[in-house]
Order: sequence, then C-alpha cells, then structure tokens
Amino acid sequence: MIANWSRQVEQFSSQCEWVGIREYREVTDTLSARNGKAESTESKLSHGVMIEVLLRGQFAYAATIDLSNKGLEQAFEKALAMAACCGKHKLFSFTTNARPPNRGQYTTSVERRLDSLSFAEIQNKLINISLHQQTSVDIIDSWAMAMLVHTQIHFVSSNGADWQQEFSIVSKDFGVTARKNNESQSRSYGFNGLQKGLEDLDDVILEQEAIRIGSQAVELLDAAECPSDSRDLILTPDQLYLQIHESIGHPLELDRILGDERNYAGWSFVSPEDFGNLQYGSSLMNISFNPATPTGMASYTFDDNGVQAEKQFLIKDGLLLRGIGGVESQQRSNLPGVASARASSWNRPPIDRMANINLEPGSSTLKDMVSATEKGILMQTNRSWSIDDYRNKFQFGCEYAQLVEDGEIAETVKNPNYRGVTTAFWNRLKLVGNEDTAQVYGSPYCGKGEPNQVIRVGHSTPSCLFSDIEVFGGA
Amino acid sequence: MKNNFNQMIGPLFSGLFADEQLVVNFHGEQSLFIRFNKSKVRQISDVLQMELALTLKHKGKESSMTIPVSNNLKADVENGHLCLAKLRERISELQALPFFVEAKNNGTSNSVHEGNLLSCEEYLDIISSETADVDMAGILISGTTFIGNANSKGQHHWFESSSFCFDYSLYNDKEKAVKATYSGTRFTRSEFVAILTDARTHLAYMSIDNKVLPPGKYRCYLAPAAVSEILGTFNWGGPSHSGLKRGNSPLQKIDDEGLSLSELFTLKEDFTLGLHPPFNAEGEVACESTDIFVNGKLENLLTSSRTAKEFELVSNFANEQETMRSPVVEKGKLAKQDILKELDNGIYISNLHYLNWSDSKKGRITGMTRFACFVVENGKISAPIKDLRFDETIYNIWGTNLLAVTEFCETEVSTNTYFQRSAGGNRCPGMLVKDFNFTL
Ligand SMILES: [Zn+2]
Repeated sequence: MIANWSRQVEQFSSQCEWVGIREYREVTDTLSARNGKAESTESKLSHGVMIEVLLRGQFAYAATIDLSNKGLEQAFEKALAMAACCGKHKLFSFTTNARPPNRGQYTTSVERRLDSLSFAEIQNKLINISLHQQTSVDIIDSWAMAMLVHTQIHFVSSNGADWQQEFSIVSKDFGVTARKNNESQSRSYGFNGLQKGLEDLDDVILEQEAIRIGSQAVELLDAAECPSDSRDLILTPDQLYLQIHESIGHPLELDRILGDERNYAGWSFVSPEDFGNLQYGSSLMNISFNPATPTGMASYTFDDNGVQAEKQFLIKDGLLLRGIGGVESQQRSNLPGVASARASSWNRPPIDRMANINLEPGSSTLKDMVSATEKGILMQTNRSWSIDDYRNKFQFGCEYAQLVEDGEIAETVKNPNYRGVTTAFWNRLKLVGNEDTAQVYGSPYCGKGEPNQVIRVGHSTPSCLFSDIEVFGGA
Repeated sequence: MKNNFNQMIGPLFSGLFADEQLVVNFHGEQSLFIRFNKSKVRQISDVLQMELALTLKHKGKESSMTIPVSNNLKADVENGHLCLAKLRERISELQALPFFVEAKNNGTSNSVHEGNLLSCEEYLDIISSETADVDMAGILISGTTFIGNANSKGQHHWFESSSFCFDYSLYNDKEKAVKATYSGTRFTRSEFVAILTDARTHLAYMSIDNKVLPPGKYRCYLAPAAVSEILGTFNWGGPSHSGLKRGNSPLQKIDDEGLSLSELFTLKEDFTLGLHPPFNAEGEVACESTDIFVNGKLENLLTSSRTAKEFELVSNFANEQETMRSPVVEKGKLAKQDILKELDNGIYISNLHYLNWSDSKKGRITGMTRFACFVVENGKISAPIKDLRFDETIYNIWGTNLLAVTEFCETEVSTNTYFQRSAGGNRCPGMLVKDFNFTL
C-alpha cells in the first residue's frame, strides 16, 4: 500500500464511460483476557481492490485479491461484461456526475499509534481489568477485550478523483457475570469504539470503571425487578446512542425509503413527502449528520463515491429535513441527502450508511432531569434491541437501572426494559442534557445490504428525559 | 483454489521449528451478486477472494493471523513465512493460555458439491422476464465457496460447494409483501416459476385491508421460516456449554430446576444436511448427528475442546462459539392441509424479523412479525395483520404451549454474506402454539 493506480485507470478508461479503483487495506487486532488469564489473540489483514465501471448508465463492480496487472485486467473485464449485460435491466441510468473528481486526504489524529504497544502489553492491560472487576466471590466470570483497527483507502478514477483516507480505531468492552442462589446478572462497560490511538486504554480510568462494573453486577443480584408501568425515562448515552441508531438513523436512510432494502433490512415508515413536513420529535430534538465529530467512529472526509462530507442537520427543532443517502439515492429520489455512500470493505459496493448521527446537546444537567422527575427510572447500558422492518415498534433492554422518585434517585432495579413507537417516543422528549452529559459511542456492527455489509457508525449524544414511557421487567 | 491452498501450506509446515504446531484455515469464494429492486438491477458485483488463517501453537501459547492469498504462489508463500515470523515473535512475549488445545491429526476429508451455475446474462434473462409484471426486491447469489483446514500433524480437510440462492420478496401496492427463496445447484426456469407462482398466490391474499389486532395472547401457526428465526436466536448462546458454565445460558432454568420442554420438541445438530462441513477451526470432526433435545429432554450441549479443558467436560468438537452449524428440528404429525383447520382462530405467521433475547438468562425472546401474516377465523384466512411485536420464552414456545409440529420440514440455506458467503443452513418444521404473547 498504497499503489499508484492511475496507469491502470488510464488503460481501462477507453473501454467505458468511467472507471474507478478503490484499494482497501485493513489490519484488525483482537485481544482478550478472562478471569485474570490470557485469552486468544488474533490479527487479520484484509487487502484487495474494487474495480468499478460505468457503462451505458450502469455501474458494475468486480472485487479481487489478485493485485497483479493480470488480476486487475481480469476484474475489469468482468465488471465491463456485467455492466453490459445489465443494460436493458437497469433500475436507473447514472452518469459520471455520481462520481465527483475530488482529491485530498484524511487521517485520524492520534496521540499514541496502534503499534506503540506490543500485544503482550495490551493483553496485560486486559488481564488487569478482568482482575479489578472481581470485586466479590459472587462474580463467576470476568472478561475484557480490545480491538484495534488500522484502515487505509485509496481511490483513483478516470475523471480525476484521487484521495486517500487512513483510520485508527480502538474499541473496547469488559464485563462480569455474578451469580447467587440461582440468580445471575451481567454488567458490562458497553462496547465502544472510537477513532483514537492507544491513549484510549488508560489504566487508571479502566481500573476505576472495572471496579464500578464488578460492584454494580453484585448490586443487581439483590435488586428488585424493574416495575411494569408507564413512567418518565432518563436514558444515558450508552443506551440512547442505540435508540438514535435504530429509530432515527435507519428509517432516514434513503435506500430504505427507495425500497432497496425491503427484502432484507426492511423499508421505512418515512415517506418522501415527510421531508420538510414530519414533526419527528419534540422541538428540543436536533439531529445532525456530522462526519467531523472528534473521535467519532465514522468521521471521514470522503464517502466511497468520493463525495466530500460535511455536517448537515437531518432534524431541526423536531422537524424532519434531510435523509441519509449518498449521491445515487439523491438522484433517484430527488430528496436532500448527505455524503454517506460507504462500502464495508474492498469486496462490496457502496450503499447508504449512517456515519456519525448525533443528537445535539441541550441545556439540562443530569441533576435537572432527575429533579424534574416525580415518578421515573434512569436506565443505563444497552443489553437487548429489536425494532420492526418499518422502524416503528421498538423494544430495548438495559443492564442497570435506578428508580427516580420525587426528584431523587431511589432504589436500583434489575432487568429494565422499555418499548414504544418511534415518532410518539421522540415527541415525548422532555429535556435534553448539556455538553457535560454527552458522550461519543461507536459500533462496527451496523448490518444491512445485499450482499450483507457491516459498517462502522458513531453517535454522540447527551443524556435525555422522556415523559410517560412503557417500562417493564424480566421474565 | 485447492491448489492455492495445498501449494501454500507445504512450505509453511516445513518451515516450522521443533515443538511448533501450525493449524491453517482457508476460505475462498468466487461469487456473483445481483441485487434487484422493482424487478430491475440495482447493483451487480463479482467477488474473488481467498484468505489463509495461521494459528501457531508452541508450548501452551498460541496466536493467530489471517492473510490474503493473492493467486501469486511465490508472493503468497513469502507472505506466509513473514506471518509465521511475526507470530513467533508475538508468542515469545505472550502469556501461556490456561486452557490450551494441542494440535492433533484429526484425519482427512474431501467433500465437493458440484453445481451447474448460470452466467449473469442467463440469470437476468430468466428473472427479468418472469418478474416484469410484479414489484420484486431481492438478491441472487451464485458461485463457489471453498473451505480448507490442515495442520502440521498431517490433518487435511477440504469442502467445496457450488450453488445459487435467489432470496426475494414480492410487493403489492399496499406495501404488503410475500417472501420466497429458491436455492440449489442448478437454476431452471420451471423450478423458479413454480416457487414464484406460489408467492404470487399468497400476495393476492395480501390485497385485503390490514386487520389491526390488539396486543395479547393468540393461538398461532409458525411456518418453518418463522421457527427458523427463533432457532437462529436460540443458537446465539442456547446450545453453548460454556455459556451455561459462565452463567449466561437461556437453559439455566433447565439445569437448575430439571425442567423439560414439550415432548413434541426434538432438536439435533445433523451434518448429513450437507450444507456445512463437520470440521471446526481446529480440524476436529463432529459426529454426523448430535442430539440436543429429544422429546423435550435436554440431552447434550455443544462443548468445544477448550471448554472441555476449562470445565473438565468431554468435547463433542463444537466450534469455538459452540453454536449449531447444521441444526435440524424433527418433524411431527400435523398435516399441511390441516394447518388452518387446527389453527381454527388465530394468526398464521409466515416470517419473523429482528429477533433478540429480551432476557437471555430466562430464555425470553422478542421480535416482530413480517411479510405474509394473516388472521385466521374458523379455519379460513380472513385478512393480513398489521405487524405485531412478540415477547415470549422458549419454555412456552417449545414447552408448555407447543400444540403440534408439522409432518413436513423446509430446508433453509444460509444467505448470510457478511464478510464472505457463509456455509450452513437448517431444517425446520412448522409449529402450532397457543397463547403466543404479543406486547405491542
Ligand atoms: Zn444498524
């Protein structure tokens, strides 16, 4: 990496309207520890190119691991032949204006490079966390994991695009299971991945968090079951990010609205007429697409169609304005979108994906939210998630909750869950936390697409208060 | 690709030092993907990929590294040696694993499932002409996948399978849909049309106005595809012996209280399905068939050799995650033509969607109805339903509330293509259950 693909692009360009080469190289290191002992360690190098051809209005894609001249020529011939045989069957006729000739680069800013510690040093940190989590004899299992990703992308096209992006991502999670008298409870930090360097694995902070996780699991063993009723609900960022993801991010994807995902991930309750008209949530709700979020897992300068990405409001004061869709979906739907066409790797074509989809902070402190609650519950850390294929009826479960009574935090309860319907839920948004309550969460596991693709997404959100939500406990 | 694999591993095994063991796992595929929307081509792509995962073991320590295989033998072997050197350096610093599994010679096997696949043009001609008058969305997957495993003790396994799968749904103008799949080794117009015609017939029922049902408990028929979804979620932690020992099992209640599920429920791992090779990443070969539940009684959990070491159990050569790779639910006695009559008044559920444990330690699953689901009144289909959310335990679905199991099963081939086209599938019957709990 990173080869100069301009010669091949020039060689191929005479046979089609447009050709692009996207080289993608990624190293993923995964390390783990359990109960104070080493567990498996593995590295994976993925490296290949996607050749993309535009012929008579149809894009076709051929991916190969054979990076020799012959390998590339074979892939190009395949892409050309596929584009040719789609001619009379194409859904939409594209032109080169769907592939802008941008040039430039993006690199994650890091304090400590991913290779600045050895595998043994990182594994020792994880062993240390798993030991600190063992706060009681009731803890029967204690684990910790870290995943380090280094990605390089280089895109060159026949109409002059030439850009490179380099990402450094650190993800971590750790947790325990406690068990006593046939009751078992698990508590975890909650998987989180950020664009950062190894400065993210700070021993002092991790040890404190490990002790908190261990103690809260033990606390849950003796906690009462979450009540089943309607009450006000405070969600912290380690749950709210997934609520945003499932009930705002996915339904706003233009390819879902256009029906591309109907057979797999699903459709959307949002219709084209809703943009500019639908009051998605209360007036406190402001949702942005922000590819420049510091540490956001999906921060970037160019999407995989080569479109320059910039911050846009999707929902302003609760009103739906814009969808999550790249240039192809924008042209097909005539709806406003964002630079969000992304591929999971070299072997998949770009489709509409979330990047960093954020809930903008408001002005309330966590104390304000608790004080404003007469009968409520505060839930933390996602444990279960499910939503229908139109993204209406959802149900979430969390690991840990505390009741709120007359403006004060009261007893801890176990197995907290809540359910609702998307726009009704967001219209019950009563208070939005300030910057101090906000955190950035990232996940590499957002799945959709045929063929299937997982992609990295980021969500920055403050804590929020929702009024009158249906909550319930365990089996 | 077998040549790529064989030619590459020889030099790597001969490059090992004394006391070192090397296990290699190969995955390769040549795949065509055609994505459809409104019966037209939305995206078309072709993938050629190969990778080799090397696990170096030495005196209780091990580490793994996966590298791409580029089709250039000299460069690939060189890359393999560089990878070995890196693993050697890494292992020297790492701590020993507490439950280390030695490489052994678990024998050799060779399984090749040939297919007669069509060209992209031929698929497009048939599919486009047959679906031109209906709104179809879906994906055609066609190609060959290759799975290899070998180790420095002489073990060698190879599995190769050429097949296609067309996974699609048909839509009416009320945004209601019917799901269908056609998979096999030889795509013919007549077989495709037969399945398509069946789906069109079901779609006709969907034109009646939706019936909105209030949440509550309903008598339901779960078609094989719906049972398959529940089985898929159960597979996520359910059969794992390690999960039980680590306090994370939905079967904890069975272990604690000696419960049984319904006598009508029998579940096994059965590799004779032919969709997944019986060897795992260590190259250990599982029995052709392993009983999980027999007539409601838990017989076996899946135990990997690593778990066996940790908890002093006997390994049944499960994979590392201890998931079923080829699950089969036994058929029962309910005849196809009696389903509506036996359902009488209730809901016919063709598909479920987005299932997840809502309380994994208590065996409770939530999810949504999807595609063709109908209200049945007096044994007759009356109207499609507006989608409902269920929240129900496996102890009810496969235990107390299971009324009947169909006398037929359907084989579902995996359409999972995350990272790579995956092998595997399952075989499920339909089930009649009472008091199925809908909450939203
Ligand atoms: Zn997602």
